[in-house]
Amino acid sequence: MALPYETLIGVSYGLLVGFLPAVSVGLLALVLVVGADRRVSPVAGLLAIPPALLLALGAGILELAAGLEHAVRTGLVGLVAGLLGVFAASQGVRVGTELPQDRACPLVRGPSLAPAAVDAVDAAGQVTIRPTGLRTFDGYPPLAPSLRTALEDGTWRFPADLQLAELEGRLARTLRTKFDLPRVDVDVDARGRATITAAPPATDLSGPLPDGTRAVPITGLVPAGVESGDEVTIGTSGGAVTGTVLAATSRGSGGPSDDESTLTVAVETPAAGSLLESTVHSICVRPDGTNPALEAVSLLEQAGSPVRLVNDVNGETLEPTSVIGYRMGDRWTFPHSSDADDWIGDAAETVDEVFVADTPGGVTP
Amino acid sequence: MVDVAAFLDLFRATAVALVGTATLAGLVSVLSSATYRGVTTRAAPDGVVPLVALGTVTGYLTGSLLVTGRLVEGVPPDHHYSAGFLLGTVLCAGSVAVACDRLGDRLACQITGRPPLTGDGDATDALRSARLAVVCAFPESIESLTGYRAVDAETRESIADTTVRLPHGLSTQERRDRLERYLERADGVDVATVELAADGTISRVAVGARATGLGSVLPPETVAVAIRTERPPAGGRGDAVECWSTDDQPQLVATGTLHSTIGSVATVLLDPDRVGDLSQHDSYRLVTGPDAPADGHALAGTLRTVDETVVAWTVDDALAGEFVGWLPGRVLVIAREDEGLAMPAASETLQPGDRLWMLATPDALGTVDHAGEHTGTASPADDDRTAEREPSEVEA
Repeated sequence: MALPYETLIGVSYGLLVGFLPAVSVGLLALVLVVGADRRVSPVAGLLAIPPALLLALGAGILELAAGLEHAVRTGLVGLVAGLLGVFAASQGVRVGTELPQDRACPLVRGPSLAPAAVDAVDAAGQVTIRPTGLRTFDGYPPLAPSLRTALEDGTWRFPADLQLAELEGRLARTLRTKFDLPRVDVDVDARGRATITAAPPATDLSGPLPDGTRAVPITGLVPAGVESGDEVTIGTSGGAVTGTVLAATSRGSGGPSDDESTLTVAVETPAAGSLLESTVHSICVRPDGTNPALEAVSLLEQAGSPVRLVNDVNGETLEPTSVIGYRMGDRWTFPHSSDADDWIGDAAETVDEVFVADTPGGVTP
Repeated sequence: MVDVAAFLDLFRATAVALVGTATLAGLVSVLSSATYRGVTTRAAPDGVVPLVALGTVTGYLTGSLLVTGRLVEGVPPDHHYSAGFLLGTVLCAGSVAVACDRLGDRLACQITGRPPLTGDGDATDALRSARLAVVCAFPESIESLTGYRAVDAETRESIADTTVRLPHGLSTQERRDRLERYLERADGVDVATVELAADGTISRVAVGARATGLGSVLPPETVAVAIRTERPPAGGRGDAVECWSTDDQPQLVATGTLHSTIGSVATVLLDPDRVGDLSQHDSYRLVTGPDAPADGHALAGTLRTVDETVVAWTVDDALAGEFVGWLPGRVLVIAREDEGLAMPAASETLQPGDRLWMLATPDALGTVDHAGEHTGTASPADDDRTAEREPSEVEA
């Protein structure tokens, strides 16, 4: 028969018998993704060709006996079925990855931010939430002006791929811990704007005082870097008093001169009275005993092997067993004692800095 | 002569078949795309729904062809009319399916109240992946991370038994990273490790804090004092300094290490016994000493920025006799009977009563079940409260 007629028959019957096998292949690809976590390549869609040809045989369009006469229509049926199969396989894989698959953790469908909020999403995938309205709960006193300003001017960054309910919860938690608010309620709308309802904090101090202590303000020269929680010993005319720092103001904002600042220290009740009456000679900070790194360093120094930082590695010969750690670029590596010999070699050229402590009997340049 | 009546019958049958199959395709499309949007919160990928709809339609036609041997009554299958009929059916049903795909999607968006998110870009992808979320629940008790200061029990309780919603499409590694970063943003928590079970639920959480404040950077048996200096001292952190009085006969009052300087007030680290010799009302002159600076504080500072940390262990019967090389970290120094052994070799054997300082990552430390003290306990009372709570939960 003429080629145009064969083409017509081939393509149209290819469309007839091709879709069912293609959809089956697509379903198979989907089941493989969901069940066995295997992604088949789209070429597997060519598996749709044999069933399609069989269907065409059964329908009477193709006949084995005809041989080469039906070659064109056979080829076209196979081509159409193959194309549909490849497309279905690739889409089956894609649908499989989009289907919700978690069996153990519950799934929640909820609203996300709207496209209008896309402007507030930065390159790191974080969205900036800004407050629009600030309210207080009934039955609570009004918010202090400084707190009100801090809340109204604040901006907070969270990952953008979170639901609105999750953004609300995270912002409420951040506000509660940062401003010490007893009660916070947050509503985030689809554009990324938050309406905050807050109750003001109850007290000013960062925490309750331990029993048997009093908070005493001390003004004087305070060592740099003191924070609440540090243990201090106050040397006074009436003897030494120990206590824990509750709050520290920065220099220049308290005390008679610019160098002095004020500490609020929790001291034992009997000592508090005498502390207020005597003059302060010195304020010194004690180590809090939780820094084994510094203990190890000072023990190494006492044992005669102080820690040194070597910048110019090429200029020295180093004992491999004396190396504590080395830096290449941004990464620090601290080798284990059993592979202390391994690091020297090609790595020695590219190392930027090395911490060493000389081993007993080691070579020191 | 053409038989008009037969022709009209044929035409009517064909038209009915076309309209019928197109309607069937449209119905299947609307249902499929609406269900897809409802289940995955996303629009079905282009072409999937028409594929399914046409599959239904051609399935029915193939079935009727196999059973009756005819597509259209009175026309043999191997005829240009049947072929044309097939092409026309696929064309009509296909167009209707494509249109109804979009219709079904819009309907589902209206019903669920979530507008469709069109457009490309990472930001829109992020918003799209937000809508289907997994609820991750933290376990009932949060542990403390070895090698770090313990987080107070209140904060740990406020994390326990809470839930976090994360996008559904994250890999296990990504999910763990997101959970750890979420915990590290909490007040009072500096480091967190999360372990996920094979099915994606959270099996174990451990948190720790880094010590802050001046007391945490002081070597043992030194104290920090602020003194007034007559002029800002030269020298930086770690330099050895001598404090000289500034009266008529300058005298050496104390020696120590310079910590920092702000203006004319210097913070100096001294022996606790020498503090009584200095007064904050007098002014002193600081002279930088000739000793080479030790870099131990630099090592301590670097360790605060990396995962590795130093722990102090006492060797008990379980560890006695083991080689230093067997331990999970690098042993820096062993204190044995008042003597210090610096940088012991891997073949050194541990003796009971030794105290060792080891540099290791918290992960490596977790592999050894050492019942001895781990550093960073905030206070003994804190641990007692935690220990008491577990049994009383059952009673209450």
